[in-house]
Amino acid sequence: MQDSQIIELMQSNPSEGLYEAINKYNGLLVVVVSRILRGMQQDVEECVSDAFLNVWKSRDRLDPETSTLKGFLLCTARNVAINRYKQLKRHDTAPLDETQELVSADDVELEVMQAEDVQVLMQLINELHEPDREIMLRKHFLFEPVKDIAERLAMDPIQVKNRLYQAKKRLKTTLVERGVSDYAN
Amino acid sequence: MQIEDMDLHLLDSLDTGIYESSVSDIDRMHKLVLSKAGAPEVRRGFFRSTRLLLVAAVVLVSGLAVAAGFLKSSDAFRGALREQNADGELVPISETAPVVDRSGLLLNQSYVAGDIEVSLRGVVGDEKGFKVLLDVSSISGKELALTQPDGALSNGELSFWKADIAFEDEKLYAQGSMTRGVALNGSKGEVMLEVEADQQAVRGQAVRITLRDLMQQAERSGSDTGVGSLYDLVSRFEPPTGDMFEESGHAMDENGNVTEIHYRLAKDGDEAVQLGGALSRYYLTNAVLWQGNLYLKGYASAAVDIQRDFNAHALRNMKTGEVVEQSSMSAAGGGKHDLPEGLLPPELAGQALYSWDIEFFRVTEDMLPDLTIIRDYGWSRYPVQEGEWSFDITLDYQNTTVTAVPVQPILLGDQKLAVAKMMVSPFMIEIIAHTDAAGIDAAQEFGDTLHTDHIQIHLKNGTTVHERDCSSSMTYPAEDQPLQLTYELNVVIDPQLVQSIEINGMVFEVGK
Repeated sequence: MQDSQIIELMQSNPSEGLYEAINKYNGLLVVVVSRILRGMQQDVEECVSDAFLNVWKSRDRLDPETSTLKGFLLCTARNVAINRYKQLKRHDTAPLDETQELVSADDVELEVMQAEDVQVLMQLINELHEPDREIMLRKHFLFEPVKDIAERLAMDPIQVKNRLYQAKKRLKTTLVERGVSDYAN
Repeated sequence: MQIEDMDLHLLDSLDTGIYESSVSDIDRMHKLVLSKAGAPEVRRGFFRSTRLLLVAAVVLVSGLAVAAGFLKSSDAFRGALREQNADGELVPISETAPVVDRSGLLLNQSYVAGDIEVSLRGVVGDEKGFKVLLDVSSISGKELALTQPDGALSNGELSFWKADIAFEDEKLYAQGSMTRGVALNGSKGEVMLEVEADQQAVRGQAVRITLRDLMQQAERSGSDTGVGSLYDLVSRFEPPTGDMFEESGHAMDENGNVTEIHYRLAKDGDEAVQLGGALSRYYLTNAVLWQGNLYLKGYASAAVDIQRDFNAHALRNMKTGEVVEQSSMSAAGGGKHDLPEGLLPPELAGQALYSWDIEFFRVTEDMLPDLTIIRDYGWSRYPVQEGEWSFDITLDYQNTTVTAVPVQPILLGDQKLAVAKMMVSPFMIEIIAHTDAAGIDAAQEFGDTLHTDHIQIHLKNGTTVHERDCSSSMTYPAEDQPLQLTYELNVVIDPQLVQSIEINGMVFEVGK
């Protein structure tokens, strides 16, 4: 079922529409949130359900013609999971894994992941050329490992890492220039 | 700007078709979301079919202790459930009138598994959830906060790896659980389990609580796995020439350069190598060097909870001490594998196994002789005692939740929202406020940003409980619907003793 049809169904028959949205995107959201909250299954389910809850509650504000259900769900799940991760991190219970490496290695990354900057991040990524654009999307919205991105794009993982590094440097510079956040400090 | 207003079509370009869910997962998620939403059509359906869905979400508790009507701790659970006397000393709850006695359910059930006795001291709760207070002790007097054999140092925090909640009424559903606690002096400790039921009342229900594997949190310091030099473990499996090349497992690019090098274990032929330390149940079977990445692969019994052992690893240069690169372990599902005879120990023969691999970045062949695998620096959980502790109880606690209608509005940004109702339970403050269009926008802005607030709970006896960095959660209000703002407290309080609550400077009178 197309996203536009699911949105229409959610507006006319919310329960059925929600079921179709879950049917289409639950697997994707579980994978993405699991990559942020590794080994914390109950938190994963909570975050994914919160994302679906959010779209369910916002269904009347979505436009079947112009809204993207996938984008909405991905961004919501991602934000909820990152917030949950930060919450757990404050309690020192977040698992130590590559997600933490991803998050703690560069606070700039974490900052641009926040909800208020998603649109700016998206605009900046859109200005990149392929394959950098897809690499950044996969890394920062799907949290795919470098190895998986390399396999999907038939690239060397080292190349993927280098492109990520260069793209992030450019993004950081642009974000500071545009005054999105006080990254200069 | 709200997410639904953003242009996120760029994400539509991503091929995500490979991510699918089972029908049972979809059904469960559907029920979970609808129950959270409180969808009227779901409620009607449930009542018609006499089904009842309970969503129990278990959240982390950071600490508690007793002082003049509240259980507080500034250091996890140290001193939990003990009350300060006039001299400021902590005294046992039996000598005081503790919260658990006034508003809770005293049980004192005990269950022993291995060397650990777990006593379920009591339960406090409200209509939407409950907390289970547990004492743990070592029968042999063993220190609960141990220094691990591989050098990890405990910080004294205890938890159970899993806590399953099963209601006698099978129609009730519990999602999962988490616990947290602290080792007190020597062989004793305290742990608290929190269960939040989003939708249905659980008071009065019979429930079995099963706790599994008592864990401690400990800091690793680059601990050795005992495997020594990687080059002593694996040796390059020279590729045959000609047609046999592909069967060797090696790969080459179009220019004839070998891009994927397979190694075989050198130790005792092709026998798997058992990792040491806390990873002793993992067997290393082969290694692949592929375009600058090293993949170590192996197996573990499916009986091993691989997520529990999910830890960061690193390679360390044994000469310089430098940690070369970090990665993490991933595992594929358990199942039967067609493995060569003698590869794994006989006791694993015929068992369902996990296959696992660890990926390390930027490794070249010449680096191998000096490299060894270590566990990475940082915090992780180690088992104090593996086993299960099970309790059957009925949730007959008193609900001491206080409801008030404060005259003070709640501020969300610049918006003042009239508070319709404020409910104070032993571990939660919930504010229901009237919203209009501006209030909805303010709530959306508020909800999209991670908030921690400073809460002061003023008690009728003149004392004040300070709750800093208290996290809030909020339902996204629809038009003409009230806003619901919830604060999870890090302390357990007696609502009957609360005079007023101050949130970021806003004072709400609660007590009569």
